[in-house]
Amino acid sequence: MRRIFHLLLCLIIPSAPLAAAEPISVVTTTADIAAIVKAVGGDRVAVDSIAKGYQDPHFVEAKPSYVRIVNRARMLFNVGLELEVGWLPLLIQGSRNPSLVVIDLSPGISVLEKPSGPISRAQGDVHPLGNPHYWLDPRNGVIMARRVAQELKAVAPGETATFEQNLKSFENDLSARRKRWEEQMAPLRGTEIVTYHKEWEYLMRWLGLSIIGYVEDKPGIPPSPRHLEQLVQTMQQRKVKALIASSYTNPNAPKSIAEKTGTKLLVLPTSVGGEETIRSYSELFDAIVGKLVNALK
Amino acid sequence: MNLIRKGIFYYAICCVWLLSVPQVSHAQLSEMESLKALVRDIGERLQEALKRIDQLEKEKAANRDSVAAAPVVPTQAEPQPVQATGPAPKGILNSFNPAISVNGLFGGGYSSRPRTTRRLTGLDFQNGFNFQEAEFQFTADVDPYWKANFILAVNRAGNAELEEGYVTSEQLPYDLLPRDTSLKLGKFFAGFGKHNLLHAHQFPFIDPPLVNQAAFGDEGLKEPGVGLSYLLPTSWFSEITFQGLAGENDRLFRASEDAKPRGAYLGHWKNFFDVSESTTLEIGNSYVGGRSSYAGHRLSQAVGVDLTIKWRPLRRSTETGLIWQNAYIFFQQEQNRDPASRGGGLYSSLQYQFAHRWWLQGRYDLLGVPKLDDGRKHRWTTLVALVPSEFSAVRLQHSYTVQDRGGPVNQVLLQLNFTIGSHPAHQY
Repeated sequence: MRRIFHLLLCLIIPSAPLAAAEPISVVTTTADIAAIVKAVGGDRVAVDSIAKGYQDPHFVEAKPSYVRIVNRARMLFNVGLELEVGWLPLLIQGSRNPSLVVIDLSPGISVLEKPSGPISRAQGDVHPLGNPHYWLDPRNGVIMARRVAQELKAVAPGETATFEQNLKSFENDLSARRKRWEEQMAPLRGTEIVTYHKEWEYLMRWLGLSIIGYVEDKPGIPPSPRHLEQLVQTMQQRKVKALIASSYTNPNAPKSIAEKTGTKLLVLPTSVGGEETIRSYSELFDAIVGKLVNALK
Repeated sequence: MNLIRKGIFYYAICCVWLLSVPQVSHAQLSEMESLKALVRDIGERLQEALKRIDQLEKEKAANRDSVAAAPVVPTQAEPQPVQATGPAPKGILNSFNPAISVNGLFGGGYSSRPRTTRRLTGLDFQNGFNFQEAEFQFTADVDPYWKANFILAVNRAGNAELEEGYVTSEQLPYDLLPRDTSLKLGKFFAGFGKHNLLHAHQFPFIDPPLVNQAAFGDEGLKEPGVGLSYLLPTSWFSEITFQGLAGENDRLFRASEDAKPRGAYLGHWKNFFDVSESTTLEIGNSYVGGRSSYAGHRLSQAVGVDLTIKWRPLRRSTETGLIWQNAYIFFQQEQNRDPASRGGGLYSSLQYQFAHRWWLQGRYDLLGVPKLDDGRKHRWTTLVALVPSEFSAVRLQHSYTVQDRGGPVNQVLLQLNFTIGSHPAHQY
């Protein structure tokens, strides 16, 4: 009897620390949030991202395999502001996971382009809650990271010190890099550019570049020939230095405009994973700023 | 902070000025000494306060430097402290209203045999233009436990019908619903195969597959009932569904609307695999059976299998994609005759998106495997769609049907399919 008791004890005792060491299962809607969660959570979290960094986050398909991922997750972080409205509700409802903690990271962000008057679909794919591409400003990345840390601490209070330490390292690193990026971009302040979609507002406001036009005359709607003609004229008159498109944009229209106007076409990643070398949140801005400086200098 | 500093400074000046006014009497002199001591004390306290203000200002500047705006482009407001609040609040009344949407189907067409086309397509067809259908959808959370969905369809004649009206739940009080399980109650399209779950505005082609129509009728298999679906603990997506249904379908179960439904039950097993990042494979198996209301109350049933392959490259997800869908259904309808009507059929369809706004599609239908009483039918369908946005589509479809009994039928259909309002996203 005593032997059996000892045997049971040996089986039970080693299993306790193992169970305690199990990382928090987190799913994020975008790769940028995943990178921030990984930076703050370290090895205390296991993170999956639904959208890949080279994918348009507006148009993710709600595959049942994603339902499976959400079903197994403990926490879900999303961008909010209705960026994921076309697919995230299906995943959450299909997951049948009532204990899932869903965190919208947009509260606390100074949201740009909140509609001040009536809106309708005649204006294209407008976001009624404002422009959701706020992660493209590293200052907002800090706000997101703080919120992530706050939520992780709530779920795993025993790991508070680890999360706070990781958050501090993330903030310090980003702050140092931000100063460098701002110095690199300082001579280019005020440069006029044109972008394909309304997704670069946060980035350009941070860096001080001036967006004077869009290839899409209405968000999410392919441009009309008349609009393109006017845009080409404007770009030629104002000698616009660069046309910026995301890596998932169909390059045909931007290429054609760039050729007509002699403007540089600059394809930028919008998210972590947008290019193979971009594996962290700060590397995303390393890549963007590097490309901007090379193109606009 | 500067305002406070200025206030303290002027206050101190006033004190010093008042106390430095020339005095005359001894009593006044001693009082003066005590006041001077008081001023010295105030001065020391003032210095301490100013030091503290300087320290706070330095801390604030350091904090701003670590997070906030760039020194040269202060275009955005300072980042706000984290708040545990939701999205921007709307009006309370609006927040609790259901999301409402309307789908309109307006069409036109020509058929070499209009009556046969009505029978083959299930559409209220006539040569020329016609209003096909409008669907009004209302969705909202009832409370933390239930989500409600109502779809009201109005046809060309203006007759309204509750197409679906149900609630779903993933969580109930006292944990009555096990984890990984969802519950559905109400009137809904039964979970048989892929096509039966779709509303008319979601049909990949303008008309339904021949075999679905032959097995379940023009309206599909929609029944009052209750359903449970469960996610199996597998490494891939595997879902099993059981539904208890009223058994009202007039093809499978009921002689007329007056006949008493005798109940039916349905099982569906869906498996989904990511073949690659861009390609998925879905395999489904379905069964539905129930006692017929005809004399003898024998078992009427249908069994089906479906296979769908989808390809959509993530880097160009709005520009191109391919869907290949196949289904076979065998059915046995116990009606007022002997032997029962038995038969089966299949379809195979291909939908190819070749540009942002353009789709090209084809479908082959074969009805009569095994053969039905009226023989076999073959139908070839092609469709081209212009999709200006995700809320509207113009589709032109041609079908050619060959049947064992009756001559061939050529038909051309045109449809404008549009959505207004807040329409929930469609399932994958």
